[in-house]
Amino acid sequence: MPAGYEFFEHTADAGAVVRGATLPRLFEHAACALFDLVCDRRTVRPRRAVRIAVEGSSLEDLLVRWLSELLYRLETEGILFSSFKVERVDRLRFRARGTARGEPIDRARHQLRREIKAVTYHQIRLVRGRSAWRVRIVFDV
Amino acid sequence: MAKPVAIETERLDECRVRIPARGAMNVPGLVFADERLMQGIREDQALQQVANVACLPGIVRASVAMPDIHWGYGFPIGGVAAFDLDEGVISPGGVGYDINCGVRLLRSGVTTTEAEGRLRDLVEALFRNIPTGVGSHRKDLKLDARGVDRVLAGGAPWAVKNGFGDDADLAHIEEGGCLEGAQPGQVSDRARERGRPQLGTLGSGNHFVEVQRVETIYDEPAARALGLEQDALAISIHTGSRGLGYQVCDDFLQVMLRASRDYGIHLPDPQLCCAPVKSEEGKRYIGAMYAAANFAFANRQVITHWVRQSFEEVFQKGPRALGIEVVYDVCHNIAKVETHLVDGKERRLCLHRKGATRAFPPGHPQTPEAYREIGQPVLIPGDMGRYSYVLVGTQKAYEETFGSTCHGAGRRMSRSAAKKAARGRPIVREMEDRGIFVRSDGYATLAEEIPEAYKDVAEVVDVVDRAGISRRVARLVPVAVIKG
Repeated sequence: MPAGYEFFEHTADAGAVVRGATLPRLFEHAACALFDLVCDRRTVRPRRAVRIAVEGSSLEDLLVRWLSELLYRLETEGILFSSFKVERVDRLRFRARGTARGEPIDRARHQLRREIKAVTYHQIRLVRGRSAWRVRIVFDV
Repeated sequence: MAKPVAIETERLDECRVRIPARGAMNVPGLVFADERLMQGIREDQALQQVANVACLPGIVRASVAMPDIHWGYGFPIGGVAAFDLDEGVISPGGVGYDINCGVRLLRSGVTTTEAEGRLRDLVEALFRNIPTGVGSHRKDLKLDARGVDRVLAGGAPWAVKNGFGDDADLAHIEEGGCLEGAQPGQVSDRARERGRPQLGTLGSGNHFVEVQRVETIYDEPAARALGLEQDALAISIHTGSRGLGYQVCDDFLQVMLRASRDYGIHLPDPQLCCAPVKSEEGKRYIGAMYAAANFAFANRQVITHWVRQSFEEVFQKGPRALGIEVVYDVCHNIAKVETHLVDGKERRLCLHRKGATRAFPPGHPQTPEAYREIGQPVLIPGDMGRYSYVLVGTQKAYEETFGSTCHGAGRRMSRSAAKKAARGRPIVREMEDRGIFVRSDGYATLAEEIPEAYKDVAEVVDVVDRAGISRRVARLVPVAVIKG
């Protein structure tokens, strides 16, 4: 199993259950899940760093916006990301910031899998368990 | 996946099921499905979603669902809902992320015999000329921010004006390929940025360009009116508004969540968030959504041009000799203001079709003149290995479903289950053995799109035909397919 998340069956779309000992780890693992859907991350070198800062209206919203921002960068700047470092997730003001590393799409070298239309709010719930944070998230494919 | 909830249903006849209005439902639910399809429908929460939509304010007559209904976000996919313009609402969840995802069908004068031996070249040319998959675009089509605005306001006519196709194409597109009332100013910069490199791109997933053979004709006069001849090649284009539309949906989900609270609209599910049609938020969403719809119309128009070019390259014939003309172009995901008959009176309504197709009857003023006697064409894609259907709209659809019918087969398998089923199989060769040349950006898409991952679209079409809400005209089988 890839670290920090597992995909679940959903007829029309793709979903992942993501875990993290801390909120920043959960955000990182969710980003890994997203880009594992988009491409084979092993083929993407972390050559370029992009700073990302997002704000939301709840923890769930914040996570959706973090992932949506990565998708936006992929579509508008053509960058595939393969590694993520989230420094801070502010649980009171719903702010997060971190760095995503990757490189521009090189169709000769990168194995692309699919396009993700959106990160949805469909039945999303981010909860803190005994030893880890956990969220179930559905991507519109 | 959450457990399905049992919803009370009453069978009205072999093709229709009613969900009686209970609790907060303002109207009943009306599902078009035979018992066999109902078994699948009951397995997820689509029926609950039909009932949830019925709870929204100002909904008229019934929350309608087509036989290809499945679980969506908020509204079910395959759902049709009409709202009163004064009392009712508009909801981004009732349109979906891919605003004006739709299908365009082109006919051609090329016969299957002529094309024999050239299908491989044809699929390669299409794949080369039409950008498919993640991050792909053509270097010779660049839009700046102003250019995007022109597309948003101009739709398919913008594309024609800029050399992609001709005026005759426009007469055969829903709404002429341009929704009046689009407001590019309501589209966020973020949406514009996502759309800028994506005009004329196919995207991925279930989006495709498919060359098909007219295999069966069920209604000779109607097929003649549509210009479909036995054994001639036709081309289907299935795509939508790309990242621009997804972003418009995303942006307005936020706006509508707030608006629902502000207007005191009770939501059985937050993804049903909405605003009164005539509210500021409602008008802004309609302006932005219409603009995104125009982007999708332009997108299919640009791709049409490249389809024509690909045929010219391969067959070494001019456009006139190839005779590639637009049969029709329909929206599968849209909300529009339309006039309908309710209890014998004409009413302007806000019609949501999410994974449903308009199916206006013969004689309707919005049916293209050439098809006035047969009804508006309805295009129903299937999977890449079996067949697609061409139908026409009926008076019964106008009376019972606000002039709507189904939109496709719908998936039967999850993507991972499909991949598992495809593991180790040479999908491209398997398809070639069946006489279908396939090209895709990656193996993953092909594996996920294997024919058995989809329900048999014939079953869906059979129900809408038997229920009388559209009529079968022709069946098309794929011979060359490009997938994102």
